[in-house]
Amino acid sequence: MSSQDDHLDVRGEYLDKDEALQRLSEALPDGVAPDGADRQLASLLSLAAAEQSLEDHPDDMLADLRRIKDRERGVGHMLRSLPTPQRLALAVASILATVGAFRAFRPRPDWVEYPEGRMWIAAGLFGGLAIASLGRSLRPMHRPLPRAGGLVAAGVVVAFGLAALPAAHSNHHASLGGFGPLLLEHALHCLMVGIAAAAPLFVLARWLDRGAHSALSRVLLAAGAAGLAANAALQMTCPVTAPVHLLLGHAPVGILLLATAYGIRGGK
Amino acid sequence: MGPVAAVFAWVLRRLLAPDSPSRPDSDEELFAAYVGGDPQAFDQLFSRYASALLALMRKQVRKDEDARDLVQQTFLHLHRARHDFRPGAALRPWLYTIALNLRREHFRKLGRRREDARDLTDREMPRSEQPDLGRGETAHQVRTALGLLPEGQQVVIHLHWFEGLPFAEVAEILGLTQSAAKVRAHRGYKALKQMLNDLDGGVDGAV
Repeated sequence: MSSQDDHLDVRGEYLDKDEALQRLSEALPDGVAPDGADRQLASLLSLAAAEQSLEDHPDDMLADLRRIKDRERGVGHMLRSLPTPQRLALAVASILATVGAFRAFRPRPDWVEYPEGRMWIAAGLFGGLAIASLGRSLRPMHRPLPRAGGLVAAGVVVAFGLAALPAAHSNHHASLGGFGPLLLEHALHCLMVGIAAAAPLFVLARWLDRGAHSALSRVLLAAGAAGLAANAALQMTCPVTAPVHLLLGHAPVGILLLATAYGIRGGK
Repeated sequence: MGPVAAVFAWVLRRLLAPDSPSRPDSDEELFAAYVGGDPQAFDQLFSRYASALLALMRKQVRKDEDARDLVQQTFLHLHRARHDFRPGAALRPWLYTIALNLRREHFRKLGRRREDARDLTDREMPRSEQPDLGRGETAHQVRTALGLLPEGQQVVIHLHWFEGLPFAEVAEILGLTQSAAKVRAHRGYKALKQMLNDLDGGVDGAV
């Protein structure tokens, strides 16, 4: 670089050359003094900064922003503006309420026969992954951006993996259904119940999400969480233990939601 | 000093002396006022930071409308997340983190890490045989060179140099240690020196 130090006049609007060099020196290793090349770089950066300060100021943007803020009304806005711990608590409470409602008002008739350990494992996996997915989906923008791939994949694996396990028991007549000509009918019934349970949870999760241009990852995490919660709810209510029924009628709830969410977002 | 003057002086001291360690119109106090219901406080914060954030966005975002949209989204997120702000925390790192995350999300949607700085301008990097460049052109070339740096170095330099943030704050915004931020800046400045080596006499010619 040129060794000339006849610095440009930055019109007094920005750093003088000593201040500029001092700022650049902050990045130098300890004990290293700035040289001529550093002086030149400091001048060039000061010039760029001074020119940048002359560019247009976005005063017109404030009017647009005010209009956008003024349109933020209603339930969605109220929910989005809640502190993050409250948003999370509301989302978790809605999952627990949904699953609890199925358990309380439509309990599976084979509850006594169903192995307790397996029930808790399934509920724990569905519930834990659903809550983790929701937490990541609702992560505020001042925290690191969420990635969806791992959790969504884990949710799909858990849902289909648990469904593919050997039947939990065959000790109750209600658990023996879902075969033969009634296979599709029963599976479709559970699919519809699952979607009905998941849809409000998904809508709530979207309302709680602050992302105006919400990333696909957040949408998929919300859909995955709702699907897992629906699987937990179905676990509470459906007595059929045949793997084929679970694979057709329970596990796909999440897949359908994920596909719908992906399609609505246009894959972006 | 008479009693009237003494009272006047006392009142003046109370008015001029800060009541708290922070400035009366600090970012944090303005934001607290906004959360408390003062809409003008938000406008003041916008006026303070909108230009800087727009410059930050324009460094890598191709379309100016996208850059402006990202700045608006930043303040919209600030508005929505107002109840998340912890008393005692610094607002500026919070605001910049939101802005940078929104920019990252923008590029994720586009499917690329960042837009190539070469796409931002039709001009090529300066060559030594080029005639003396005007100030504006020189500044443009400097910004182009900045755009060619890896994103991490570019952001650190923008925050450190153009925004004048201390490395402690730069590190907080980017989730780095202070020494890591300094190292990144040092590498970026070094790369800039090499890239701009051909701008001999360009600065003098611009005055």
